[in-house]
Amino acid sequence: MGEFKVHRVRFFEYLPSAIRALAFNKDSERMAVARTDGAVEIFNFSDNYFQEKVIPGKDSRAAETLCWLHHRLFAAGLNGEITEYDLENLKPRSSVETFGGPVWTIGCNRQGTMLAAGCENGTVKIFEVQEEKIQLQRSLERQKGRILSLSWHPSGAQLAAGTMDMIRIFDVQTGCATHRLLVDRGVGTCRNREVVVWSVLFLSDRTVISGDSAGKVQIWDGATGTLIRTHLVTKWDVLALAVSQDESSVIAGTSEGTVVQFQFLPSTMGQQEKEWVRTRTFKNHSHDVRALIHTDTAVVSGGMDTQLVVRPLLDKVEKNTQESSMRKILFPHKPLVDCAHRAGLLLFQFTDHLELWRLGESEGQGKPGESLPVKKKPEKLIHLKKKGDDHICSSALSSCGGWLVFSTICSVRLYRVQLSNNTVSLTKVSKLPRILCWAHQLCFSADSSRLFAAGARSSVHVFSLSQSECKHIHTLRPKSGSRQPLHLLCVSQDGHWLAAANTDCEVTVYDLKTMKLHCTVPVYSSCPTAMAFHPVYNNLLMTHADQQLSEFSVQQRSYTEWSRALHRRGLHPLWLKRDTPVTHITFNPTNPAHILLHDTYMFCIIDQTLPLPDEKSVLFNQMMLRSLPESERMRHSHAFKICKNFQNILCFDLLEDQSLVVVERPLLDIMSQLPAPVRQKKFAT
Amino acid sequence: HTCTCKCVNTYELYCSKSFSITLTWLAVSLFVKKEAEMSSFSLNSSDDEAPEEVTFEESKSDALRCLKETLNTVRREKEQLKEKRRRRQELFQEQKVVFLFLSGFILEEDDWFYLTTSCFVSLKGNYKVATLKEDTAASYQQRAAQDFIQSRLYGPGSCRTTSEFLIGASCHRRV
Repeated sequence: MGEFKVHRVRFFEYLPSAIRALAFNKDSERMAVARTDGAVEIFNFSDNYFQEKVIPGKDSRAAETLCWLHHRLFAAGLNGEITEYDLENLKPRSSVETFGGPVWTIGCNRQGTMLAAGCENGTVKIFEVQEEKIQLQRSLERQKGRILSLSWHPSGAQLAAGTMDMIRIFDVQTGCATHRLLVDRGVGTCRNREVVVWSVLFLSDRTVISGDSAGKVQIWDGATGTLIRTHLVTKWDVLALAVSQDESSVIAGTSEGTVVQFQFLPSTMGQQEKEWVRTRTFKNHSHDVRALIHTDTAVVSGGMDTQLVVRPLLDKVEKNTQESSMRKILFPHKPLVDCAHRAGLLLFQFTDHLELWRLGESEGQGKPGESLPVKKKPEKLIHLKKKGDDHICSSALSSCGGWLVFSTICSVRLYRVQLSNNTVSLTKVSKLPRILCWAHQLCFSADSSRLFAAGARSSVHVFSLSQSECKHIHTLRPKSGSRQPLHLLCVSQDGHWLAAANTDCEVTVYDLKTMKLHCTVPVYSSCPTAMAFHPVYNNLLMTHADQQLSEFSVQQRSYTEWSRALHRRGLHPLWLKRDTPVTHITFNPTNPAHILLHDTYMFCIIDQTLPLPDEKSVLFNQMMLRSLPESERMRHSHAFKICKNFQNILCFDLLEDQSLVVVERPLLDIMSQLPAPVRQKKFAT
Repeated sequence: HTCTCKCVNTYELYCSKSFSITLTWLAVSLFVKKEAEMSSFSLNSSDDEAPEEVTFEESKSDALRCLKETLNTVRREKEQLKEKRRRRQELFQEQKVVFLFLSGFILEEDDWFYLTTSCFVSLKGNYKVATLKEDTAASYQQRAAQDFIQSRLYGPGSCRTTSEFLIGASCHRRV
């Protein structure tokens, strides 16, 4: 493999946002995740939990609650508006004012005809769902306290709403509250404070289940308005509840980070009478669990520790398989770091600003694993803040380091960067073509003469760059006319070819010399997660969400021989079991047989001249090879050279001077900046 | 004459200019008449001396002079009042600008981002006022809601520790 000097970068102070709400669309198997910074992410649960789309957030517009209605996604927050998102253009489509103050919760009825919103002023507003929008129909009887949670009865005729100190059951037709379920306050000092009903569920047999700030999960008979059973689950708050589709299992998320399961079972064997019995407890989080979803096979939770955890229920899945392992999604599935290979610069993308850093220099050589003395420290050159409330959704840095671009949902900013030994200057390109108003993917050509921006409906706008000007040359469109957004964009080294991939798993290759569509890669069922053109042969290398690898020859319009051999042999089981996607692929210009790629926990150099591993070979064999004498090594080597020395990798790239850059974000650094967790007394601490 | 002037001043306060002039004339003519009467009285009563010869022209010019003086005084006072009002208005405008500035509005000449017509304040000079953030009842409610959540989850009685403590505890347990 050879020896490389590695720039180990830990100064990217990336901080993910806490998860505030989850919503699962059973038909499309898409999970929507709302974060406290206002961003909404869409994960495809049927494609290895790949993060397909990210709708950027906005200052002071954070979603408190999400709701799917068929294929439409609605969110509402403390700004008092219900927003519908445009999932094709990744931005809000329309907003409706509720006139009830901040909105704490929304929910759709099973029929998909009405949407209810629980407001700060104590009203539940009912909206009629129409084709293009939602229309306020009526308000239910006003309550004294704010409405923090609500749940529709499956029939759509009744609604349960959690407020301060009580739960109200409403008749939707008349708008009147029919039952009042009084929730006990906590003991001791808590008696002086109102108890908050954070979450409520209304089941088809008229059972109401509530979770409150006194740490109780209570089971009520919604028909008579009486309390059946109380379970004291935690000393802190029960923040979220979720029920399975068949209503046999309910899960409760607490401030301690635990998820407690209740199942509707006969309490003793042989008995016909069933009741809600506490069964399992999962401790998947270190901080408060604020959102929960109960799918058919798993418990999905998210909260203040920013991690999305999928915990399969072992009685629903086959044990000891890929399906049964717990998944923790920590980092975004698209790169936030761009590297200028020739200039040795790094661009870090945050939601509200960009940072441009120059890498440091070291001297001398060393043995593998040794740290080299630093001659020059890495330097932050530019700290560029966004203007306005909208968050940055994409950015790019040219290979020479001379051009920098970023986009929000309403504007694009392009800058010329001039670096000399001691000075840095940033000049904004003021007059941009009108068509360059927003792009969720941006990419520069290798020679920095062109800028490519993803537009609506999988189109790509091509711009030419000169000293201080940017001109629109052409717009490339795919044949399929897909309305889905592009999530990957790459250009070949010689500037001849452009590849664009969208969330419909379509990869289109365009010829930049003729500005025409060249070919479409055969559609593979799993979405591509990274792609790059080989610098010499111009083959398009792609990785997919299911960890498959493929190499497509653009000239021949078919997969390469190597790719076919790989498909025939099959990838090593340990490679396929990896639970984080490959987010970046690059090559070594001095060694055309090498492919460099990485995921969150490893980076890998694939040597196409070496034999492919079969399922019996040891995949992670680098340590073993090092211990062997040199004559023996060739016999045991295979193509995949994996290094696991670095953790939480956000970027892995090769600079022009043959040194590697690894940007790490240690989890402990993130954890130390999270909000306060609850104080738990643990044995021996 | 002093009496006449006093009379005029009192009238000026309550009446319009033209009216006051008419009244002044009346007052003057009455007074002159009265004076004449009074002089005749004094003639009849005790003195044998002949009355002072005061021609109509003289008294007319006196009255006119007096009138002019009072009109000038009135005009001066009016102007003073006007000046006072103008200065007060200017002071209020300046105070308003300072108030807007302190409340988070900024004065910008060219590069202003978003304005609503209701925000326009016409000021002297080439300045326009642009709001940075709308401080409305809605945002007040939003802040109250955020405070509620913050106090319930992180406020007093929430029994929280620090993330560092949590990391330390987990490291300790691993050991």
